[in-house]
Formats: sequence, C-alpha cells, structure tokens
Amino acid sequence: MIPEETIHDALAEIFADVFLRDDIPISNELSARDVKGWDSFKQIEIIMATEERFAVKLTSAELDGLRNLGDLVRIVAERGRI
Amino acid sequence: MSPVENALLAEISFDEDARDAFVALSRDCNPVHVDPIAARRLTTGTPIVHGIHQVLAALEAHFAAGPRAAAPVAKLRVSFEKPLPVGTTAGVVRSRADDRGFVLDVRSGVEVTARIAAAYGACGSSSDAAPEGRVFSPPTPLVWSEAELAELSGEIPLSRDLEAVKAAYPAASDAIGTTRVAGLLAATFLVGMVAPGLHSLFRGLSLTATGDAGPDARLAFRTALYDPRFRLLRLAVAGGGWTGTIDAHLRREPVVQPSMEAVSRLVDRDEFSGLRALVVGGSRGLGEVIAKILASGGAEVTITHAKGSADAARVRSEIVARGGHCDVAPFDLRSGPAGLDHILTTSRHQVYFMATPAIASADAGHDPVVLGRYLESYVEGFAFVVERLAQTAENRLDVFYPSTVYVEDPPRGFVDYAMAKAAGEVLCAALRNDPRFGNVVIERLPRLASDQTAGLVSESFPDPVPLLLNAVRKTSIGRRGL
Repeated sequence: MIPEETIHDALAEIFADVFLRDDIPISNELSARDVKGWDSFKQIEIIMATEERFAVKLTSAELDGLRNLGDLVRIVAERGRI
Repeated sequence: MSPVENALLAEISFDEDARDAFVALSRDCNPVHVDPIAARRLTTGTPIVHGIHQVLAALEAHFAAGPRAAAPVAKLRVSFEKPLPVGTTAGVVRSRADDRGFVLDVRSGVEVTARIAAAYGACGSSSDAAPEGRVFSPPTPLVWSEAELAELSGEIPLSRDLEAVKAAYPAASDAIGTTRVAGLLAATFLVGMVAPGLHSLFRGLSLTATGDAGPDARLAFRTALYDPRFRLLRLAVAGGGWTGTIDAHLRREPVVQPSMEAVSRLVDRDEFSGLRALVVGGSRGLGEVIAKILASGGAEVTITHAKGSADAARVRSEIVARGGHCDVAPFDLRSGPAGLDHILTTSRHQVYFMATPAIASADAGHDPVVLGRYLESYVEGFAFVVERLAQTAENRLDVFYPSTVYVEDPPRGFVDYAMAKAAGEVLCAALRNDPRFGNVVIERLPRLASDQTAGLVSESFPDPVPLLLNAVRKTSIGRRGL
C-alpha cells in the first residue's frame, strides 16, 4: 500500500502542472465541483499523469466510478507502485 | 523583472479575416476552423479559432509589450482550455511575469480559452530529429483509424516563407526566433491536417527549445502514446527549434442520423396523414428526426434552416425518395417575425420548434450574455413563431416544445441553458390557456443521439426515434386520421 500522504504530495504536483496554479488544496473530498476549470479534459490529464506517476492503469469501470479524489487515491494506494 | 499579475496586454479580434490570414500562414484548414456547416456537427457547434493562433497572438502581445527578458524562452507549455469561436474578441492577460518566466491567458469574458506558460533558461543543443521518412503536406485533412494513429510517424515541412512568418509575428520572432514561430505553425498543421487530422482536437503541447533549425527544417513526429480510453494521441515532436510532445484528441465522427427507412419501420403508415406541420430547425439534429417521423406517417412537412441549405436539401430528398412530402424554407430566427412571411402562405396544423443556438458547457456558471443568447431563441424566437403561425393556423395550432431534463437538475455549465428552457416551458403553459392553440406538448428530453451531439470520450446516448415518435403522437392527439 502506498501511503496516502505520498499520493497527496504527488497529486499536488500533478494538479499544479495540470492547472498551472499551486493553490489547490488536495484532499480526498476534492472533486470537479470545487475547482474552476476541472472539466472532462482536465480529468483525463489528471488521471493520465497519476497513472504514469504510480505505474497503474484504471479500468473503464474505475474511471466511471470516480466521484472525488479519494476514489482515485484508494485505487492508487492499492495497486500503484512507486 | 518584477512580478506582474493580471495585466491586460491586448484585446485581439479573432475575426474571419484574421482566421483566413492564419490559415494562409499555417495551411491548417481543418473544417473545425473554416466550415460553419461542418462545425455545427462538432463539439464546438461553430468554427473555432486555431489554438496556435491564440498562442502566437498572445506571445506577440507579450513580447511587444516588453520588457525584454534577460534569458531566452527555454520551455513552453500550452493548454487549450475552451473553444474560442471565430468572430470573438479575446483579451491577452499576463497573469505572471518574473525572472523564471511568464504565464499568459487568452480570455473570452471570464473564460480562459488558452493558457501559455513559458520558462526562461538556456536552450538545449540542437536535437532536430532524424528524418522520420514520410513527408506529410496534404491539402485536405487526413483521416486515420485508431490502429494507424498508434503507429504513425513522419515529417511536416516548415514554412519556406519565413519573411511572411516574421511579418505576422515580428516581436515573437525577435524574441524566440522566426524558425521557432514557424515550428509552432507546423504544430497546428500537424494536428489539424495530419495527425489526428480531420477529427482532431488540439489539447496542448509541452516543448523545450533546442538549437535553431536550418532553413529547410522539418517538424518530425511519431506517436508516443495512443490511449483508446480517452482517444488521446500524444506525439513526440522534434524540429523547428523545439523538441517535446503534442497532445490531441481523436474526436468521434458525428452520429449518423436515423434514415427514413429506419424511422418508417416504427411509424404507422398514414398515422399523421392530413397534417401539415412546420419543423423549425428541421434540417439537422432532432428536428430532422421529427421531420422524418411526420413524413413517414404521411404528414406534409416543411422544414426550415438558418444556415444548412445543403443539409435541408439532403433531408428533403431522403424523405421524397421514400414517397414522403417535404418542403424546404430558409428561415433565421434572427430575422424576426417578418422572416416567416414566405412560410405563412400555407396554413398549418402543427409547429415543432427545434431551432437552437450552439449549446456549450460554460465554466462560469451563470453568464447573462449566454442566458440572453438562449432566451433569444428558446423564448423570444419561439414566442413570435407560434404567434404568427397561430394567426394563419387551420383550426387550432398544435405546438411541440423540446425542453430538457436539465431543468430539474442543471449540471455545472448548463445553468443558463436550463433557465432559458424553463422560461420557454412557462410560455407553453400560457399557450395552453389560449383558445388558438390545441395540443401544447413539452418534453423534457435527455441528451439523445443525433448529428449534433458529438461527444469526445465514450458516451452513448439513447436512440431518439422512439422518444420523439411518442412526442409527435402526443402532439397529434385528436388530429389522427385527418
């Protein structure tokens, strides 16, 4: 299991890179409703960058089931590699 | 350099003349930028400004405004955030500028359409790619299968007319080099004309400056990644003084409309015979489907079109070929009630109001300008159409008004759209109390598959025919067998 804190740190970098801003507070509750500009395109960028960073690939069912960042964090924690 | 935040550098009119000049320079004539009819079937709904056009205009404004940086641009990252319709005036805003680099936003109203981040530093050594073999310079956009895109490589010639490039972008050429400007122009040609080509959507790029390129330089490319889940193509590129990656989506091809043959299988022959119906906006999308349903059931249909005369002619010929009756009449809601004069020479029993402006998600939530655009069509246009038709209607006029499920639960980005449709529903309720009107049917429709619902990632929408057939039947209650 990858520690949640490690994933959060990586996601902070990914979000800064994707949104070109570094003031987005990363939490498991964070969702597209909370971040201006988080549309389906940004979602793809976030997922692909996370997959690359943790050497994991989400299935279509997992992609469809993502409701907030916590859902992504749990999948990465269980199946990701550092 | 002292930090600068949110400085408006320039307001730029991305009108058709500017678009045409950019096409001449870049040779990127993808229909999404130049063809208003084809663009109606895309996710954008209307021709959009080339992303690289925005980038170069923003860089030109930045470098022209100064001050000149001590170090050259070493890295460039671009993200295309929202489509920018041709004809829009957009602002170039410098949201950050310091010793590390700068960030520019191209903004239309409150929406950021493109974000450009540049970092200063030393350029790398020349790393123009080894020749990749096939040179691509097509006059029209190419079409590839997903399997072909996954294995693609080749080269794009840079513009030979560097003087024209420099004349168009003098400050940017001075700052980053004319060849690198030409390299960016080659990037839009690569995406829009070659890979993904016709069905492309440029998402962004991440480039590092290398040693300057020679006069006959080319932009070499190869597929680094194709992800079928997102239909995302990542191209590794090198040349024109840059090396890095370009991301673009492979758009889905527009949905094929239900044929008359398919519609006829579900409609009882003669169930609408004797009806004379006007389908406003019947040349495409759900309006086309309704016209086919009515004609399949024996109604005399007139379809109107604002722009798509070729589309309308296609629908008419398909209906007529199956033995149906269909007339075509040009009509643009923006022409006002007088625009209906030539249509009202025949009285009608029914009107189906399927006209719509382009429907696009808006990041800003409520925007009065966007709401006004929807109201102009869904309320004001609807009101004068039904009023004028009622004046010449045979007996009472039946009305069909397509609303949306978004009225009940508006998703982010569609608040104004839902509000305007809700206002149209209120108008329909008033029509029900007016003795000049017969059946007034409102259907809160979900997104349905049509040539106007071009999604990007895997999305499936319900077949529109059963739902719309039910709506036409409800609108025709008491009229059957006329």
